[in-house]
Amino acid sequence: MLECKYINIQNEKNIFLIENLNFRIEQSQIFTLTGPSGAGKSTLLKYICGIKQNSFTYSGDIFVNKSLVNHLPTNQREVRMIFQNDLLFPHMNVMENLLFAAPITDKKNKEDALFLLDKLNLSHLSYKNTNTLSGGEYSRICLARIIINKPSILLVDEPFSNLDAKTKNMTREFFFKNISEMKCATLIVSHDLDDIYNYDKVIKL
Amino acid sequence: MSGLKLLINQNISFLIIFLLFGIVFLVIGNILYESINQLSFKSFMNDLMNFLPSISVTFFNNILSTICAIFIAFFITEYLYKKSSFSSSFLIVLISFPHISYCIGITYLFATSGLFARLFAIFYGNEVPFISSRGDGLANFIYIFSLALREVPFLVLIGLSVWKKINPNQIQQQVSVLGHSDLSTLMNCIFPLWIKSMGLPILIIIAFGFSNFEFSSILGPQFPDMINVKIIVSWYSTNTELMRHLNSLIMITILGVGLAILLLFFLRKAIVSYFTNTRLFISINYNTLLIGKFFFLIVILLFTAIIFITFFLSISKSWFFPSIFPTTFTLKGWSYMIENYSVLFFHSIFLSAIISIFNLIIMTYMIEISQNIKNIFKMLFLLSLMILVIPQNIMLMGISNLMSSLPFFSIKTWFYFSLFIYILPYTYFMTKQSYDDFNPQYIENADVLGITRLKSFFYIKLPIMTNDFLIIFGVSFSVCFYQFLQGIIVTKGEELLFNNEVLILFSGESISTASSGSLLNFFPAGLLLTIIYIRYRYARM
Amino acid sequence: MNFFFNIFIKILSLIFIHHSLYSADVNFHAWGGSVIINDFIKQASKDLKKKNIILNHTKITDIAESIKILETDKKINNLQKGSIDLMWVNGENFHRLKKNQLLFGPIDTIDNYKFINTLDQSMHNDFGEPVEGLEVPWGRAQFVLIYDSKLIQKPPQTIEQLRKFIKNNPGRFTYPQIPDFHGTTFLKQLLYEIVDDQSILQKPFSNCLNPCEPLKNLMIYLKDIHPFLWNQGKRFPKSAAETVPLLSNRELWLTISFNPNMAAVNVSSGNLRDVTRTTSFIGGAIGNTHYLAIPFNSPNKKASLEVINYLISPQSQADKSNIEIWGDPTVLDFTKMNEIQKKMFLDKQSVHILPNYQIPYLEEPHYSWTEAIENEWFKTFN
Repeated sequence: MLECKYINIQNEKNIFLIENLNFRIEQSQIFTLTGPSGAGKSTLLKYICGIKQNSFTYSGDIFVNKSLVNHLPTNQREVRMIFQNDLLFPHMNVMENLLFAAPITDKKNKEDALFLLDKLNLSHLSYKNTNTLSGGEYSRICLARIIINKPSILLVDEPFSNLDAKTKNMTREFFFKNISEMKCATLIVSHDLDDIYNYDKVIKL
Repeated sequence: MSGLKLLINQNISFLIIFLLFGIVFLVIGNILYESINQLSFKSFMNDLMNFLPSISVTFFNNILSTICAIFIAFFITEYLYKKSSFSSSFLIVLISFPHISYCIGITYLFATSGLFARLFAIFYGNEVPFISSRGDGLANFIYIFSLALREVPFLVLIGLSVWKKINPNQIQQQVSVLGHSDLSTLMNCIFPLWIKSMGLPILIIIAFGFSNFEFSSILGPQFPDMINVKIIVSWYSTNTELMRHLNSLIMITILGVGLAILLLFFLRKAIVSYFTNTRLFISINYNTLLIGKFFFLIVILLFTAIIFITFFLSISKSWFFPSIFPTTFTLKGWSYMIENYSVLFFHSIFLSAIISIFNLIIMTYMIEISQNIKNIFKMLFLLSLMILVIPQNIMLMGISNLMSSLPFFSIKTWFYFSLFIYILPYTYFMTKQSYDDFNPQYIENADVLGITRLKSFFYIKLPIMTNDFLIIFGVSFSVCFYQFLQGIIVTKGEELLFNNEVLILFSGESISTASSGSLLNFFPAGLLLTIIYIRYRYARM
Repeated sequence: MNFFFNIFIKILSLIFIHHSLYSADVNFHAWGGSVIINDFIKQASKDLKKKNIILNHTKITDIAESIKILETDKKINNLQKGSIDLMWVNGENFHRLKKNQLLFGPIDTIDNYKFINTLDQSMHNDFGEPVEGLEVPWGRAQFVLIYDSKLIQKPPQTIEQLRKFIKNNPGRFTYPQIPDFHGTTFLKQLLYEIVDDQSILQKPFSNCLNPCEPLKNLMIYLKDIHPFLWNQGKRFPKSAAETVPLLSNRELWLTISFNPNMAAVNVSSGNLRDVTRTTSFIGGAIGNTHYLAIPFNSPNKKASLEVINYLISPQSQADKSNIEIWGDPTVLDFTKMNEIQKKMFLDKQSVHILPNYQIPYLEEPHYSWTEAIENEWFKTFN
C-alpha cells in the first residue's frame, strides 16, 4: 500500500506545483496521474521514490505499507519506478539487464527472463547489446526489466510513449496483465487515459 | 579549387603520418635487428632461464601495482566527483611531481632513520636507529604501493572525465529504483563502464612500469633486481658479461610488456564480466565514499610529507637522526642551483613548451584535416599505440643506434625528435578525445551559414575547446619536461634537460642541492597544471 | 628577406650539423654528481678564461656515455670533428678506450708533467694497463674506512677485525652494490688481505688457476659476513655517496670511501657529524690514480693540452687537495717543487682525515680481476 499525505512541491520561484496532495493506493489498485506539461507529474513520482532535485522544495509524508519512508534512500523504500527516459545499462546485454533486476532470492530468474522476452516477441534479442535496439524494443525491455523485479508498488512515467500503435496494444496488454497478477499498487503518469486499462482513480494536477 | 586544397591538405596528413611511421618503424626495426643479429637463440634461452627470477619479479610487481593503482584511483575518482572540490585540482597537480624526489622521499619516510622512525624515537628515546632489515619482500611491497600511488593522480585526471561521460547520476537513479544498493550501482555498473574506458591510461602505466628506472632502482628489490635496472646497468657497463646481456634484455622487455598487456586485457575482461554479473553487492549498503576519502587522504598526506621532506632537505645543513627538523640551515643548495642551472632550467621550460605546442598543432591539424578519413585516425592510433607500448628505454636505444646510421642529422635534431615522439601519443589521444566530445552541430550550423571551415575553427571550435587544449598542453608539457632518458641514451650527456642535472646531482654527496633542484623542477609543470586545471573547473563559457 | 634567410640557415644548421655548436674551446666530459667537483671545475674554467680558453663542463652521469659517443664516431669515421675534447677517466674505461684506439697521444709531453710523481708506479699503470702517454694523472685515491668515533672506539684495521666488528655490530656496515666502482674496490681490498701472494693480483686473472682459490676464499668470507651486514646483506646502497647519509644518521657506523679526505670535506659541508673519523687497513690500502685523456677526434687538441697543463699545475693541484675546496690528493712530487709552490699545499690539520702514519700503498689489481670479481659475486649472490 502506498499513501501520500500533504505533499507540497514548490519550484525555485516558490510557486506551488503540487499543493496539499493526499492519496492512498491499495494493492492491486491502479491510479492515473494526469496534467499539463510542467505540472510536476514526473517530479512527484521521483519524490515518492526518494529522488529530489535541488531546484525544488518538498514537503509531505510518504508511507509504504503504513511505514513512514521519508528518511529512507530510494533503494530501501520498496517503491519501483519506470522513468520517462528509462535507461538500460550499456555494458550489459539484454539478458544481463533483466537478470540484474531480478530478485536476488529467486532461482528461476533466467527462465522468467526468457519467458518475458518471449511474451514480448523479443526472444531473438536475448543476448544482444542494448545499443543495437530500436526505440520500441528498448522501451519494452525496460518494462520487462521492471516486471521481472516483481514490484509491490510501481510508479510509471509515460510507459508507452515510444511505441507504435500495434506494439503498444500488445505491450499494454502484457503490462497490465502482469501488474494485475503481481497485485501491484500502481501509479501511472499518462497523457492518454485510453492507454490505461481499468484505472481505479484519476489524480489531476 | 577548394577540392584541390582539401586533396593537398589530406595528402600532407598522409605524408606526415608516413614519415613518422617510417621513422618509428626504422627505430623499432633497428633495435630489433641489432638485438636479434647479435643474439643467438641458445644464448637468449640461456639468459631467459638465468633472468627468470628477475623477469618474474618485474612482471609480478608491475601487474600488481597497476591493479592497485586502478582500484585506488577508482575510489578516489568517485569521491572527488561527488565532492567536486578544489582538492581535485591539487591531486591533478601532483602528476607533475618528479619521480626521483618521490622515490627519495619514500626512502626518507620509511628508512630506519627516516621520519617515522624519528617520530617514534621521540617516545622511545633511542639515539641510534634500529637495525635496518629491509629485504626484498618489503622492497617488493614498497615498490608496488609506491608506484601505484604515484600513478593515481594521472589515472584520476583521466578517470574524472570518463566518470562524467558515464552519466553516473542517471545510472544511480536507475539502479536505486530497482531496489539495489548504491554499492551495487558503483560496482555492478559504474566500475565496469569506467574500467572499459580506461584502457589507454592503463596501457600507459604498464608500459611505464617496465621502463622506469627510478622506482625500480631506488625502491625495487635487488636479489633479484628488476629487468628495468638490468638494462640500464648493462647499457653503462664495461663488464663484457653484462654488455652481452643487453640484447637479451631488450628482447625480454619487449616480450614482457606484450605479455603484460595481453594479461591485463584478459584480466580486464574477466573483471568486467565478474562485476557485471555478481549479485554480491545488491543488498549491501556501504558508503564507498569513505574508502575514496581514505585513499585520497593517504595520497595527499604522502605527497605532502614528501614535499616537506624535500623542502627541508634542500635547506638543511645538518639533519641527523633523531632530529625531526634540521638543526642548521643553509640556502647554499638553492643558490647553487640558481647560479649554475638557471639557463638550463629556462631552456628546458622553453623547449618543452615549444615541443608540446608543436605536437598539439600537428595533431590538431591532422585531426582537423582528416575528419572524414577514418584511415588516418587508425594510423595515428596505431602509431601512438606503438610508441606507448614499446618501453621508452628500448625505443631510445633504437634511436641511438639509428643516429649512427644517419649521421648527417645533428644531435640536437635527434634529441628534439626523441622528445617529440614520446609525447605524441598523449597529445593525440587527448586531442582526439576532445574532438569526439565536441558537438558537431556547432560546425554544421556554421556551414549552413556559409562560414568557411578555417573561420569556424578559429572562431567557434578553438574558443569552445580552449580549456581542453590547455589541459592537453599542460599534460604534454609535464611529460616532456620530466624526460631524462633521452639525455642519457640518445645524446649521452651532450644535450640535457634540467631533470637530467637533478638526477645526476642525486648520485653525488650534496643531497640539499639535489633536493633544491628537485623542487625547482616541480614548479613549472606544477604551476602550469594548477592554473590550467583551476581555469578548467571554474571558467564559464 | 635577409632576416628570414638567416633564420632558415640557422634552422638547417641546427638540424644537420653533427655536433652541438659550442662556443667552448674545450668540451670536458666529467661526472657531474658532485657539487664540490663541479665548483672546482667551474673555478678552473674561470681561471682558464684569462688564458683565452673556454672550458665547458659537460656533466655526465657516467663516462660510459662518452665512450659510446666515441665508439659511434669511430664507426661512422668521424675522425676530426668530435664533440668531446677532454675526459676524466680511469680503470676499465681507460682499458676500453685504449683497446679501441679512441685516444689521442702521447700527451705527457706537456710542461707541467715534470711535477708528476713518476716514481709512483700507478702514474704509469692504470689498473695494470700501461698508460703509454695516453692519459695524464690528475688525482689520487686510496681506500679508507670512515667511522663514527662516538660509536666505535677502536675501528677495525684488518680483515679479521672487520669480520669481528661486523658480527658484533650487526646491521652497521655495508658496501655499495656490485658493480659499483667502490663496491668492487672494497672486494679487491679484501682480496689483498686474503691472498697469500699479492703479486698474483698484478697479473691477469687468467693466470689464476681454475678454481681460483683467492676468489673462492673471498666469496667464503663474504658469505660469512653478509647475514650481519646492513639489511642482512639483502639490500645494498647503490653507490658510496648513498652511504654518507646512512653514516650521518647512524644507520651505519662504518663505511668505505676512496677519498682519504672525504670525511673532512663532508664534515665541513655539514653532511657528516663532527665525530666522523678516517682509518684504513694497516696492511695496506688500494690506491689508484684518476686521469685526464684527450679523444682521438677532438678538434681542439691544443687547447685541451693547455687545460691539462693547467690542471696539473702546482696551483691547481694545491686547490684541488685543499679540503675546503675538493680534498682530492695530489699527483705531484713535492721534491720537484720550489718553496713557493710547496707552500701552496697547506698542512692538513683536520682530525677527520687519516692519522699521520704510513698506510702502505697497494697497487690496483690488473683490470681483468675487476670483471672476474664482479662475475663471481653475481654468481654467488645474485
